[in-house]
Amino acid sequence: MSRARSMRVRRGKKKNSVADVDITSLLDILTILLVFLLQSYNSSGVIINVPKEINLPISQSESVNNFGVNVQVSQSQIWVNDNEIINTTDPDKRSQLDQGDRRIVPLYNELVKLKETVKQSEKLSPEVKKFSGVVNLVLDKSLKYSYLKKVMYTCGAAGYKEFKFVVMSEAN
Amino acid sequence: MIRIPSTKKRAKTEQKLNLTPIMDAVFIFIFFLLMSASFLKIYEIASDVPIISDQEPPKDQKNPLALTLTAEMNTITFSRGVPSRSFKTFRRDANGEFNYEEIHQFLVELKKSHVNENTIMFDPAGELTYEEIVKIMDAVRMLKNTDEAIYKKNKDGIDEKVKDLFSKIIFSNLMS
Repeated sequence: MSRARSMRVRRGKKKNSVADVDITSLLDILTILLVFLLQSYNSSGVIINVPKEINLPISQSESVNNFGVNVQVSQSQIWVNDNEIINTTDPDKRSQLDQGDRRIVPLYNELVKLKETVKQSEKLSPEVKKFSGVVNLVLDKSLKYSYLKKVMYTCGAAGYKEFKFVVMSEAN
Repeated sequence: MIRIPSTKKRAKTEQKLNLTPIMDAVFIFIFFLLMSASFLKIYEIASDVPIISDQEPPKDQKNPLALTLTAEMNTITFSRGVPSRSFKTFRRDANGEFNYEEIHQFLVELKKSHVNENTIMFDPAGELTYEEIVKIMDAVRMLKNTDEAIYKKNKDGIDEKVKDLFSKIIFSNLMS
């Protein structure tokens, strides 16, 4: 009788098989990923989008970027915070100049609109970051100074008093 | 005759998921994404908007440096003083390039006698490209590690190392 009970007990036991996953390769991946991300870590926290039409000049500068309005200028287009403002190939987005061909009107209007939005937010909430007047200029390296001058003049006229020329590190 | 269903519990066999091919695919996918992403190290060069003032210049400075750099297509000229007078000109070499190292060394020597001056007025010609302007700004702005150390007295009378050359660049011809 005891033999029969023993067999019953043996038959009732389930085999608890624990799923063994080999995580060695996963750890390898994570290590590579961690090293790579640490290397490309940017302490400033500023993300600046560089359109493919823009080739940044190389500089020895090591000053980290600041928060501000991003004005991106290529040979034929101008963007403000990634929104296309001027495109010479699009008849609806042609550049218009005034003040003796020094001020780019659509760019000026957009910059003023952004400034006003920030200033209105300031009034509504004291915790909102104040208008810094910083403009990050993401400019193509082949642009002539005569054109840059118009962009800079327009930014100055719109109330932005600090230019930050975005450049590429020699290390790239 | 209908048989009563057995009360015996069937042993459940746990299904093991083979993760190896998924892991392989994920590894290749991550590798592909990382390689196709371009993480550019980008920095900035600061410049202030020039302010036009009709006020008299401060009289506490006897001989203000008032350094001005005029960059033409073929020459770079440095001027100083009020009223401004040119005192050094650099020309393009046989390869059509400016010798930025020579310009830099000239400014390092100038900085030694004007350690408290940081401002330079920049007046580039309209035909110059942005790339060349950035190269000129690099030669003008920073002291390199290989440059001779320059010291100045701080408020407490202690010597401290000067880190910048003429780092405050102001585009003087924006209004013209």
